[in-house]
Amino acid sequence: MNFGLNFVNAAADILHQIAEAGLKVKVETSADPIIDMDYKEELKVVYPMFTLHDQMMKDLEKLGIHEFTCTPYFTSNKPKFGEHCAWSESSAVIYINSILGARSNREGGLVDLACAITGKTPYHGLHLTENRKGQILFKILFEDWDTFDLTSIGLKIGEIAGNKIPVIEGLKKVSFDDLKNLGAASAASGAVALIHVIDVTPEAKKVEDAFQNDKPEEIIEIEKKDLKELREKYSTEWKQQPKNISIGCPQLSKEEVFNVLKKLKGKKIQKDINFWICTNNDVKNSIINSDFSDILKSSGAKITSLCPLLTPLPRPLMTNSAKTCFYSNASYRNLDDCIKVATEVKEND
Amino acid sequence: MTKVLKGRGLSSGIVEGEVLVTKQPFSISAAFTFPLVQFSKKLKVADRTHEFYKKDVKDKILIFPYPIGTTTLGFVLLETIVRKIGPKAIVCEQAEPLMSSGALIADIFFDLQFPIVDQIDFSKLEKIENGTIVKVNGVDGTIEY
Repeated sequence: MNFGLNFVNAAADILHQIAEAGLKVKVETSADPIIDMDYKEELKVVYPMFTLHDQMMKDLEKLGIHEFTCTPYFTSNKPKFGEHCAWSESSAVIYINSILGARSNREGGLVDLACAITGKTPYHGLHLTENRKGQILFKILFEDWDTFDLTSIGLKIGEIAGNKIPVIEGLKKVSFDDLKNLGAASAASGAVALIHVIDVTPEAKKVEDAFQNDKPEEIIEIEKKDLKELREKYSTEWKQQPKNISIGCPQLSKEEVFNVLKKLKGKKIQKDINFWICTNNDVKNSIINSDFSDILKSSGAKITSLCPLLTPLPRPLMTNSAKTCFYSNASYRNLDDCIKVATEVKEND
Repeated sequence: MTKVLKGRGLSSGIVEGEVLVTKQPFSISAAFTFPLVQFSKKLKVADRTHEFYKKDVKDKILIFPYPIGTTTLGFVLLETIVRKIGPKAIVCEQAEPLMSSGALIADIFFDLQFPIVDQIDFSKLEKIENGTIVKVNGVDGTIEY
């Protein structure tokens, strides 16, 4: 479910009516993150936009929803292969369809809530095997891709595939975390809800499986040089130093958070920059209570459950996320560059 | 109005107005979220990657091939309908239930009609350009111009 947008009064009004009527969800249901109340001071500029926050949280809890993250598949809400679901949050829909092999259309706009309350979803679209057939083959022609390249590849695939089903060849060693970020980008620049990755995702052991023994409608080759042009198109180049740097959209997995913290070890974020490490509440709390909390404290980075999109962080903004870059006027840089900007004082400053 | 194109009506309502037309898929969330957050009186498209960028879509009939982007689009469309600052209707080649949900909920909960018609053959749209007056009938799924 996707209930992050507090400014959407009409949806909040209907949610309130449903909660007041005493309806409850019948199946495991989670909702998108909203705002992180642990950072009242840092986020005070955006707080006036969150007048509906308390009411919406109460209503969601009345309905039986207690988990708030855009990556619920990292917590208790992880569907099994072949399971029929009704998910919103485009990055989560593409994750469960592609990586877990669960089946969901792109839901939202309260239809998701109706599905949660009835425990049923219309049997159409991606619930049917024949509609999960790959349509466009994307060949990645270079092998030295890194995490950042993959997010850019995601934007490129979304742009070209639109609402079709892409199949990717050439990413045999991709991690699920990197695929999460790639998928989120494709679901922003396109309406992609399912990506098959040959020899990686469960419905694409072989090319023939992904295309259900049919031929691709189109074959697209992606080279490393294509990505430079794409980054120039989507990145907003601010002249000023960023006020906020946002890492993670979708929220980071525990391993991704470890990776960021390892890179931050021994470094110090400049005092006029907020460096946000976005993850779910479980990971946030476990990091705060672990040895890694020393790195958090010494570096000055902020671990948070906020949604960087729905909690519009004041600009200038920098991010390593293709999704945040697509929806916000943010400079789009890899993680190392984000850390460098956050921690190195320029000589002429 | 002499020409009628037949498609599929997805939500009720009959409206007439000026068209804004594009062959580029359209992200309702990327386009409208920012002006909604700002409580702007106009609804100027905020998606800088789109050819509609900075265009005010209030009372226009939007014609684009299909919607893209994140799943908030149903809510976002609903909000533009209820605040009465958005387009009057949408015409597509291929809509998505996610988008139609915004229009249907506006009808059910707020008694506001917003017609969406899809399955319109875009190769027959040559004579429709920005500013053309078009009638959209969400009941029988036609557009007339």
